[in-house]
This record gives sequence, structure tokens and C-alpha cells, in this order.
Amino acid sequence: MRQASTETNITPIYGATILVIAALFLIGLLAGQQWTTPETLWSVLQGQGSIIERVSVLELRLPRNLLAMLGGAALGAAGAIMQGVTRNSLASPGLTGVIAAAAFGVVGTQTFFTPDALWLPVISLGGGFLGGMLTFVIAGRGRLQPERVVLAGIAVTALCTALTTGTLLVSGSEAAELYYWLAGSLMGRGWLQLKLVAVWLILPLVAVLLLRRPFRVLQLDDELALAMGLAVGRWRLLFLLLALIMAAALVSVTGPVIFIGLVAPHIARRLIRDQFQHWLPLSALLGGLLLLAADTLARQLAFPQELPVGMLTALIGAPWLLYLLNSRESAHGG
Amino acid sequence: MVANTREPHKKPLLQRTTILLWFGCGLIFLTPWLGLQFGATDLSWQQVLAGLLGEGSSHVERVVMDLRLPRTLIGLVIGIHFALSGWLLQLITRNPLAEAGILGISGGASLVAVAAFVVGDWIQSGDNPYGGIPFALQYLPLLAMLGGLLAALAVYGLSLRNGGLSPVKLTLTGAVLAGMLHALTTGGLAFWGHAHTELVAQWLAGSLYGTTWAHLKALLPWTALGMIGVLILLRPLSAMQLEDEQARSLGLHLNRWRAIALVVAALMAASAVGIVGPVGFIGLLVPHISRRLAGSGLLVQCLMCTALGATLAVVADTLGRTIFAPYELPVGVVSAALGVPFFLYLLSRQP
Amino acid sequence: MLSNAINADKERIRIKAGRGLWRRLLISITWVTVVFPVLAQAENSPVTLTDDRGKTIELTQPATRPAAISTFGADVARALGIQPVAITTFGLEGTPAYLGPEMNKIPSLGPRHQPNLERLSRIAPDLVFAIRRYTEKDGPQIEAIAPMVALDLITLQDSLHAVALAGDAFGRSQQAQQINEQFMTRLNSLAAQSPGGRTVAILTSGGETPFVYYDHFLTAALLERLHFDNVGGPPPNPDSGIPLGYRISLETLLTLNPDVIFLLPSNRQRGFTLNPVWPYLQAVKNDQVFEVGQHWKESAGPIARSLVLDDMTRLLFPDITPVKTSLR
Repeated sequence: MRQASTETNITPIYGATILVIAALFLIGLLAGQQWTTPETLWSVLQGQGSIIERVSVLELRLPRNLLAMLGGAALGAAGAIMQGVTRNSLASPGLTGVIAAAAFGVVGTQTFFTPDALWLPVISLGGGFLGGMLTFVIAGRGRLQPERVVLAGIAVTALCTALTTGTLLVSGSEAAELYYWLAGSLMGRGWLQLKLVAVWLILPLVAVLLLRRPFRVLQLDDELALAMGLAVGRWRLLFLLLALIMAAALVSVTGPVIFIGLVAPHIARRLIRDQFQHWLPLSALLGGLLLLAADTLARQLAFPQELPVGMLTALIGAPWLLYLLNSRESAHGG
Repeated sequence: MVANTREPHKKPLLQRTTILLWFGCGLIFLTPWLGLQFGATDLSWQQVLAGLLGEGSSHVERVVMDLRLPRTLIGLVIGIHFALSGWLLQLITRNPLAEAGILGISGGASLVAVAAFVVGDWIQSGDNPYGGIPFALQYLPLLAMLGGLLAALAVYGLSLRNGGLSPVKLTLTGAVLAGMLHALTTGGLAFWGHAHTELVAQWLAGSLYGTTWAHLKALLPWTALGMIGVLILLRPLSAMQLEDEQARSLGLHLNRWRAIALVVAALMAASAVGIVGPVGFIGLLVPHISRRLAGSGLLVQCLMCTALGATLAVVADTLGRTIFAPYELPVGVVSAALGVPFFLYLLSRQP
Repeated sequence: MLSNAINADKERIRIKAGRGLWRRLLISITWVTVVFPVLAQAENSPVTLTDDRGKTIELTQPATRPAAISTFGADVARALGIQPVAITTFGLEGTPAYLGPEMNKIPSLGPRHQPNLERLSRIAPDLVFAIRRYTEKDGPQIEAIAPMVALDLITLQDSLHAVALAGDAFGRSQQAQQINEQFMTRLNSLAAQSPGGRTVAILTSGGETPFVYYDHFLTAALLERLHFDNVGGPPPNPDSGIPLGYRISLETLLTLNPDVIFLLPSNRQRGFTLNPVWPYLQAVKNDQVFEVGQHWKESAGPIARSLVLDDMTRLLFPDITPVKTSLR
């Protein structure tokens, strides 16, 4: 009975989310040193307007907005996958060592070599992959017990953080630069960066959205899933791999941005109640919304400077976290 | 998992303990020599001895008495702090991966310390841009301790809601809080750090560079307090190792003792963080090794922790300042690097 | 030691000999008026110095064995004909190349924010030139080993004052004063010749977002003196000099659209130059982006700051002076 009533409520949720994203996107296009008026925006979109306006809107704000949206969506989806597959409400790219290891890969390579920017997503992916693998290997061969995954992830994160800090000190005069990168930011990212990671973000995202059925089954009991004819271990690995690719690829251009992957799936689950087939898409949408909002705020709060967006996502994540930890049902996970 | 540690070598228990104790004593007395002997300048052992006795040249005496000796002693002490704090935390959370860094205690201390630099700048803004630094440095240990304690209490409070205090929930809460604190620290440093980034970054890596007798003096009262705390906790802790129901039936106020143990652990870790910055792997590794060596006797475990923690810290620091001299690797990084292979081994051995 | 320095100076003269007549004249005059009186001058009187912390340092005799924490100390010592006994280095980068290859033979103290105290103690300098923002924390420990002057080294005034102070410390006040006067004379004469009028930005960083310096930062201040307009703008705390600048978004940079951009050295591929906005900047379109050496970052020393002026003349008004190279 309740099922029926909530089912009708899903469409407005999607609608509202998309509306907010659109609004944020528009604000993101307008906001800057001097706010662009909507009329100017219109003329810019038609290929007119002064060069400064055109470049600001089309070359800076547009790709940055797209990157925030896409990256947020990827993080949201990655978080939902990790939480769903490990059946642990606290699993997220940040807590499974993926983000920290990817960041270590990038910082380490940049300190000791001078890699072409083209390779950064690959390096980051390698780092994230190793970190994630380490976590999951440690957590248990064969069956991935939820608690052990998180515990192992925490340890891997601690290890990578220590190594990153050490590397930073060796890098000498560039230490301040790398620190800024480690705080996570979308500042100065444009089409080039978007192009670098778009493939790594879009393909897995589309794939997991298409694979919603096996994902739903994976959240059931292992025995039940087996009974339904699903090779549980293999599917789990596939999903985790896709999540890992998305998270690591984003890290390579933005630096570590945590908590989106933790918070978006939780909010999504609250909204959808028990209609789990909507969990993944909604998580992705909300992830995009959150990162877009955080980035727009980061650009405006401390004008003319910019706050590191990683700090803002942590601040947005914190109240939610307190709420989450105080409520019994979510502490035990879905 | 810790609770299940049986006594694998039951045979001559007394003899084994005696050997371990001698071994520990030997380590405690030998490692300082390592710290005194090696460094960026070469001194012969006769020179070191002369320096200690006050008969060396002014250079030798300065290097031995003012630079190496305080640094080595602080290394010993912080090793003990981190090791015992990790040991306590692993016991009460029953999580072999728990330690001050992972539970957010070091994170709280770090965040408050970075905030101290920012606030120091803000309070002293105006003519003297450096006014903030002495302000921050002077209160760093106290502020860091406050931050660590607050983080520990927050972790405790948040995991206490809804009745009992489950070890798993304690760990998870701590981990999430640690992640948040870390993000805020990095962000704060990147945004407000300005010209101090290198200074603060060096501290955040956990370094013994530039520590003096004054630092040692600031640290020792907390060492004493922590050790006393650990001794008092020994009995309740051994009862706590039982299953919760059993322990409760023995008339133990589990949550209260857990809180006390948490506070003692936080005090030890945060006071050390205040002096040298967050050093992670000592608190993770040393308790493991101690448990393996000492079996289930808590007193012996605790003594082994003391000896091994001190040794690891001093060895890591000595390596860090000799390998790339005149450059230095911070003790936190060297201990992490030393810890990696061992850590992997330990994890793969877990049931 | 002194003869080494003189030889080095001769070398420099030989290299510079290819330049314009006025420079050759200037250098000869320097040689006669500055170096010879100094050689004759053999003071051994006590020295009293007041550094930028307001602290008074007493030396029983002029310093002969200085150590440098930061490049400035090495720079000023060389300019005054004294060989430093120890200097800090930049990790893998070593010492700045503009100070000459012989600097690499001087014992290293490690990084400037963490000078190696044991080495310092063994070398036992009689004076340490320190950069204040890096040695505030460990100052007492350095001072236990040797007297230390902590210097701000941010603005033009800081530079002039620091050079004068170094002159006092080495018992070569006159020479230092002359170096300062010559520099100011040169700066003023260049200012009179400068076409000026254009906007400039000094950017540093290897990351995605450049860091731009405020007007008070020495190199920016020199540009302002030459009637160029630094887009970094005035500092928020002119009294303290900190912060030195800020991170500027490319959007803001595009709005300010400087005519000329100077890029300070970075050991990585600069992320911000890969941004699609980069080509739209006027300076980039007009090929007015210049990579400059390490001496632009710590330019307070006499050698560094005059090299910076060389670079500025060469790059910003090439029609006036035909000089095409600078000694790096």
C-alpha cells in the first residue's frame, strides 16, 4: 500500500532534482568577477558579446560546471555502488582508500617526474586501483564482509595519507602548490581537463545505470542472489571496478573530493524509501547537484579568492553525518 | 579479534616473560645510543661520550647535549605515547586497526593546531606578521591536546547514542570524523596557510626537527599521567577483553571504563601530537608486535609496547635524519615506510 | 678567499665586456670606486646590527664566515666579495644557477625552512643571514649556534635595508651603500627611459591556478617603478607584507588581461597554461609571456635584483638597449 503511494512520488523527486541542477548550472554560468546578465548570456550563447564574456562563459564556467556535474554524478554513483555492494552505509570512495591512493599516485608522480597532463588520469587510476585492490584483498578473499572492507579501507587511507605528506615535504618549494591540490578544487579546470576524464567518467556511469538489475539483486542476501542465478563475486568485482574508475579519474583532475560519495547515496535512499531501482540514478543526480552547489559556493564565498571545494564538501557532509550517526536504522545500513 | 588471542606458547610462561622483559630493557637502553651516535655530522663514540660527560669541544657538546639528546629522548617518549595510546584503543574498540590517527584524535589535534596558526595571524594582524607564530607555537601542545580530547569525546558521544557502545560503531564514527577533520585541515592550510605552509606542513608530517629540552619538559607530565592511567586501567581492561555480557556480569561498568580508557588514550596521543605532529604507524604496529610477542598478559603487553614504541620512534627518526642529510625525512613518514611491509603481512595473517 | 672572489669578479667583467659601452664604463667605475677602497679598508671594530625583528645583534668584529638561510645571504656575501661558508638549497634543484657554479661546492644546510642544525654547528659560521618567515620557529636554536639576523626580504625597502645591514655586518658599509645607490640610480634612469604604460602580472605555481604577487613584492615593485602596472594590485596588509600575493582565477586574470606575463620557474608542467582560457590572454596572443629565472623569486640580493633589472630592460623595452642576454 505504502509502496504504491511512494511510487507515484518518485517523479516529482527527479523533477525537483533536475530543476535545482538546472538552476545551479545557470547560476554557475552567470556568477563570476562581474556577474553576467541573462541577456548577455543569451547573446554569448548566440556567438556574440565581448571576448571576455565569451571566454568566461564558454571556456571557463561552462566546462567547469559540466565537470562538477559529471564528477559529482560519478562520485554519487560510485558511493551508491560501494554502499550497495559492500552493504555498508559508510562505504564510499573516500573510506575505501581509493581517493587517498589515487591522490598519492598523482602527488608522487608529479614530485619525482614531470608527466604530461594527459597521463594523470591513468596514473590516478593506477593509484586508486592499487589502493582499492589492497583494501579489498585485505578485507577478505572471496567474500567481502562489509565491516572488514571499511576497516581495511581506513588503514589504506591512513597509509596513503602518511606517504603523501612525506612526498610533499620532499617536493620542497612546490609544497604549497601540492597542498592546494590536495585540498581538492575545480578552480581553473576547463575543456582540456574535462576531455581528459570524460571517457573515464561517462562510460562507467552509463554502464552502471544500464546494469541496474544485477545491482539490485546484489543488495539482497548472498544466498538469495545466488539462487537467482547471479555470480555474486564476479558482479561485485565488476561494480567495484567501475566505481573505482570513476572515483580515481575524478581525483586526477580535481584532487581529492570526499563525502559526496558518502552523502549523496544516503539522501537518495531517504528520498526513494524502498524503491531501490531508483537508488543509483538518483544518487548520481544528487551527487552532481551537491558538487555543483559546493563549487558555486566555493567560487563566491571568499571572493576574489576561492575556497578549496573539498573543504566545502566536508562541511556539507558533516551535519549529514551527525544526523546519520544519530539515527539507528541507517547506522546498520541497508 | 583481540579478545580471542589465546596463549599460544603456554610452556614456561615465567621464563618467557623474563626474557622479554630483559629484551625490552635492553632496547630501551640501547636505542638512545643509536640516536646519539648517528646524525648529519660524524662523531666518534668517544666524542659522544665526551659530549655527554661535558668534556667535549663546544661543537660536540652542542650537538650531543642540545640537539641529539633532547631529540632522542623526545623520540623515546612520543614512541611510548603513540604505542600505548594505540594499544588502549585497539583493546577498547576490539579493532586491530584502531589508533589515534584512524579514530580522529590526531585529526582533531591537527585541525585545532592549524586553526591556531590562522587565529594567531588574525589576532596579531597588523604590524607584525610573525606575531602569530610564537602565539601558535606557545599554545600548540595545549591546543592540540584540547582538539584531540574534543575529537575523542565527540567520537565517544556520537557512538554512545542509542544505548550501548559497540566497538565497531566506535571505529566507524572515528573513521568518518577523521576523514572530515583531515579534509578541513588540508583545506584550511591551503586557503589560509599563506606563508606558513611549509612550517605547518612540516609539523603535520610528524617531525622531531627542532625539538628542545623545553618540549621534553612540556611532555613528561603527560607521560607520567598516562602511564599511571594505563596501570590503573590494567585490571578493568583484562576484564573487558571478555565478551560484553560476561564482563557486565562481573560487575564492571563497561561504558565508563571504556570512556576512561579513551580519555587516557586521547591524552597520550594528543599531547604527543601537540609536540611533534601526527605520527601514525607507531600506534598501529607496535601493539600488534607486542601482542604477538607477549601473549595475553596485559602487563607484559604494555611493557613491550613501551619498549618497542620507543625503539621504533628513535630508529625511524635516526634513519630519517641520516639517509638524506642535510635533508630530513620526518619520523611519521619513515615509520610509515618501515611499517608498510609489516602492515601488509599482519593483515594477510588475520583470520 | 678574497682573491677567489676577485677572480670571479674579473670573470664577470669579461663576460659582460661584450655589452654596451655605458655598461662597461659603469663596471669599471664600480671596480675602481668600490672594490679598491674596500681592500684597503681593514676594520676590526665591533659591529652592532638591528635586524627586521627589531633585535640588536652585537659582533666583536665584522663577519667573515657568513652562513645563508635563503639565497639572499649568499647573494649579498658574494656581491660584497665574501665567500659564504654554508647555504641552504632547494632539494633537487640545488642552489640558484645565477650565483655561479662555485656555489655548488659550498656545504649545503638543507632546506631553508629546516636548516640542518648539526651541520650549522660543525661549520660554526660567525653570522647567519636568515629569511624571517622561515626561521621564526627555530630562531632560538640557530642563535644558540651563531648570531643570526632575520630579514623580511619582501619589498624594495627591505632589500635596500638588508644590503646596507649586510654591509655593516661585513665591515663594508661604504661598499654596500654604493651598491644600493648605484642600483637606485640605475632604477631611476631606467624609469626615465621606460616606455611604461603596460599592465604586467608575475605568476608562480605549477598547478592549475596561478599565484599572483601584490604590488609590494620586490619584482612587482620594480615594475611599478618602471611605470608598468602590476595587475596584482595593492597588498591588504602593507605594513606586514604578508601575504605576498594570492591565487587568481583565470577568469579574473582574463578580466585584468595583463599585456605582459612573467612566469616564475616551476619544476612541473604549469597546469594553468593548459587551460583553454590561456590562449585568449592578450599577453599570450602577443607572445609577451616570459619565463624568468629563480632570481625573480628571491630577488632581494644585489646580484639578483640587478639581474632582474637586466631582464626587465631586455624584455620590456628592447628598442632602448640592444643587450640580449643576461647572466644567469
